[in-house]
Amino acid sequence: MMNLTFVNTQEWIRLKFFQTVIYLSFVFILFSYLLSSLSFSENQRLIVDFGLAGVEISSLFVSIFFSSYVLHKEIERKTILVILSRPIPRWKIMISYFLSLTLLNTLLITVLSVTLLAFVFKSVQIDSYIFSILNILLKSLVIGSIGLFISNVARPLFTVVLVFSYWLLAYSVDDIQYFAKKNQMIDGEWLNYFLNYTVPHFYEFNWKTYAFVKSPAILKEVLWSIIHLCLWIVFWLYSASYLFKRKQIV
Amino acid sequence: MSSILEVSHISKSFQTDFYKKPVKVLNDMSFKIHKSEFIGLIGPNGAGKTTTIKCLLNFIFPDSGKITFENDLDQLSWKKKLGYLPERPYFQEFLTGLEFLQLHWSLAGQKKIDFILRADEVLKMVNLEHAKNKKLKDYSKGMLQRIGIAQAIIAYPSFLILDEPMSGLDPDGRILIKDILKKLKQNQLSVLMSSHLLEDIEELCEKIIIIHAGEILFSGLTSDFKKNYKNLEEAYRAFKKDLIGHQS
Repeated sequence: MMNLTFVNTQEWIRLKFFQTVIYLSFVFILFSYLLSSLSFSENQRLIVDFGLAGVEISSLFVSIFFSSYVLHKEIERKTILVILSRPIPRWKIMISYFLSLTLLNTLLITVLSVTLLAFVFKSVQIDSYIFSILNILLKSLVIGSIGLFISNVARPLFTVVLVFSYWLLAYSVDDIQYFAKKNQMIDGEWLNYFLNYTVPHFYEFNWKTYAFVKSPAILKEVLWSIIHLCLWIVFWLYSASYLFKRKQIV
Repeated sequence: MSSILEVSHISKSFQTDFYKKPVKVLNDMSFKIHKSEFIGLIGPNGAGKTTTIKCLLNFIFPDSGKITFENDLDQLSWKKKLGYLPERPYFQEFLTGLEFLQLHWSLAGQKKIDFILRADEVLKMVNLEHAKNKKLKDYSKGMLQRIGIAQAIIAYPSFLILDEPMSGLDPDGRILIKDILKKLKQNQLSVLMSSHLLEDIEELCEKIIIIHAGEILFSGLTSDFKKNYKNLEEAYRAFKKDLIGHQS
């Protein structure tokens, strides 16, 4: 399984898409440094807010595109056929895709966050900064595992759209619940209930901000976010493996 | 003689569009493969050859019927004894020949320590020793087909499934692949090979299975099939003529 993971990772690192994402994210972080010179008092805030948003967006892009295309690409090129003819269970293949995504995003996020840290080293709490970065990584992996699940049944472009919508929803659950309550929507309770149990609560852990990284982290919150996001990853990965086990490779 | 694979009454349909009726691709198909047999799967395009192979490999699941492996083995245990070469294979082109074989060696669950010896043996067999450190993107089509055969046989399989191993190759490439297959035949491997090239089937396979529209029309010795004719091609031509005559 690990060999398969490394081969997949190698293949994606060689893709122009991945290299372009790294390049653009670098440009984004450098741009945030230039932008900060426009402000006299809040330049650190600008660098951190823009920089961390750049890290999250780039990892989101990699997650969405990797998870939507990896299986489709393997089936289209028939590379999956020789792998499936080997004595490895299908769930291990799905896990190897997930591990490849984890390696890719860890590499991407590490490179970008270390670069960003070089600009804001003096004004952030290192532990909070690390937790914020870990949070971005885990969110990208939740999105990746949902993508792997959907890619079993949908075409890549449709998967991209669905996963992106899901990511937006995960950040907007509280807004939707607020508006449902304000408009006294019928079945608003049910909507609350439904959203609470079907969508991860990204809005609760929106820690890519200067306010979060400049103050000491609250360990209880951090722990809760890690458990919450890991459980979502396990759930979607299990579902993706279940679907893949039943998928007919025509 | 003990069978290493028994296919009994499998059928398979595909839904092309959700509002259309499913199309039957395999219809009540049954056959057996015994140890050390070299079997050719013949049929026109769309007859169901690749679908049959995909059912055997569990890529797709038959709607009905049963596939039993040697000694009632489960799929994973059976796959340990299996080698497979797909039609027009595409491999990870950034790997070298040796890295590619190593990947399949490890996927087959073999011990790392024995790899180099076995890789040398297999590369020699497919005549690719000189190219083992070249990247697959620099391989010609014939070389890719040969490295494909190398990955199929690297983990000491007792049963090989080859889907159109000679398709799209030039005469030299075909001769090379045929020579490799003849060597495998000497090693007492069981082989199921699908092909459109009757000349190759005649040269290599002692048994043939003829499929048409998802049904087996003939299953038996190649010599029996062509006994009144000069070669397999003539016999096949006459057989098809008869079939069309019956159908009309």
